Amino acid sequence: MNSLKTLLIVVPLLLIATVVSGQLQIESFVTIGQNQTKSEGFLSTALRPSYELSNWTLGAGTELAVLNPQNTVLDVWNVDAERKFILKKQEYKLYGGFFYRPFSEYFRELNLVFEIKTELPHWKFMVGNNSRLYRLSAKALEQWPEADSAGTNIKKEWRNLLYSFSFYLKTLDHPWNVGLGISNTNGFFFNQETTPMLFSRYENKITESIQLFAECWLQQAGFANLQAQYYGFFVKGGLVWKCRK
Amino acid sequence: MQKIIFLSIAVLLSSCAHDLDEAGAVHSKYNANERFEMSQEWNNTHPFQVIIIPDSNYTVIYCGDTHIGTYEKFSQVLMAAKTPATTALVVAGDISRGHPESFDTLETLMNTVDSVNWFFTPGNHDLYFGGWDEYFPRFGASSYYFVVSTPAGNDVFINLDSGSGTLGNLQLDWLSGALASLHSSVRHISITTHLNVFKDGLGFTSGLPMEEVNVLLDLCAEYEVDYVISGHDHNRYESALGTTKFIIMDQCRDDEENSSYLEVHYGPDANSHVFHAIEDL
Repeated sequence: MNSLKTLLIVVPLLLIATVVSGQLQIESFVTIGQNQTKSEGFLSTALRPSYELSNWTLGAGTELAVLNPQNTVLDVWNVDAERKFILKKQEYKLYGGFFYRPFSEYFRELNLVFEIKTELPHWKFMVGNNSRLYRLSAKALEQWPEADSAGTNIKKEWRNLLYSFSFYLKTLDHPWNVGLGISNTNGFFFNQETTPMLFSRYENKITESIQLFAECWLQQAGFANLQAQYYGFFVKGGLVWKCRK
Repeated sequence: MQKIIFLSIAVLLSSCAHDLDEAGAVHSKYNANERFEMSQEWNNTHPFQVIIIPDSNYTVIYCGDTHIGTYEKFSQVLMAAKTPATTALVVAGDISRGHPESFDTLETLMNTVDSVNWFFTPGNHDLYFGGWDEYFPRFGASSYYFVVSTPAGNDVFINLDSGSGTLGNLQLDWLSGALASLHSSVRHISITTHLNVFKDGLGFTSGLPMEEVNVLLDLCAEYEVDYVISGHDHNRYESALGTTKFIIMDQCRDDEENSSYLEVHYGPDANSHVFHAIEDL
């Protein structure tokens, strides 16, 4: 019992100390777009706070589907962690994240994401893996109780390659920059490896602590089939605020 | 090393040149919505087929990726489809190689099997080299359904066109409407399309876009779809989620190994399926 009391006191103090000594960053953005499942358009807004502590960054995020949600307004939420390390004078970041998307009243999509990232003066690189799991919701399990014993309550796709490669006109430490890239993820959304998206990004550091950014993304269906067509696009704009230094 | 890579790529491209329509990587001559609208016009003048059978148990044969050209393996599938126990044959795309001569061969072949109720839906290879201009006048709609009517009830078979990588918003709306209007009056629902919903590990063949997969999964659950059957990957992969079995079939290409076709048995209560291997040539 005593140890529990100690924990109840010590853990919040540690958390407060952590927050005070670390750097809080908040990323917020709005996404507007259109695709073949939402031909009338969609609008979502996202918030991603994170704390940077020496070599670690711990974060969480949520995206709210304001216009045309597929199921609920809470489109997706996530928690993640990132660790910086140096290898042969080059800095790398190891990223791990868990994403929860209640896209249907019958199903939940869970994504376990691992990425390794690095940067060169004009380039950003990322490769990783996304393990995608679909599982039945509580409502669906109630409707089909036999799914548990039949093993049809969950579908696992362990291996999905993730990648992002982008080139920036200015060096990455420049106050403003323009970049072009190709990726199969935009942070909250993970395509199969054979469905890349093209994107462009403009970013501008308006103060020491605030950076504005805007991105345009083009989605092409069937690219790897050699019989492809336009699928959709989205535009993303927001800010990154580093609250404490 | 660079020379070896260059030569390998050159050899690969030249060996595939007859089968691949590289320009299609960025543009389809007809997109999914345009093909769907043409299909709907066709459906307006060609009503959905109803196959009436006296037995409540029956069999439908499925195959895909025949890539005609040559058709020795597909001929074996057609032989199986001619048996009295088989009610219909559904071919899940990449039936041809997109060239006019492939369609000529296919059309001639299908004219010899009057006794078989066969149903096609196109794959990406059928659309190569402007293939839709060959496919549509010969075989008609690519988005449609047919019904098998038995004493115990009706079963519906929906064929969807995913040949250019997406179902498209019009076809998705149509599918949603069709399922809503049909599900209460049918026993079993089977959907066939070329592209995969799920995949087995890392792959080079693309499935449907994830947003469409999520919409399709939701519809399958809401209307308790029995089967979603596809091809495209050329390698068999079976999975199930909720009440729906998702099956990717082997190919039926003469120049590949491990070919098979799928036989699904529909009954008053449950369904079952079995793969039949086709001997390598």
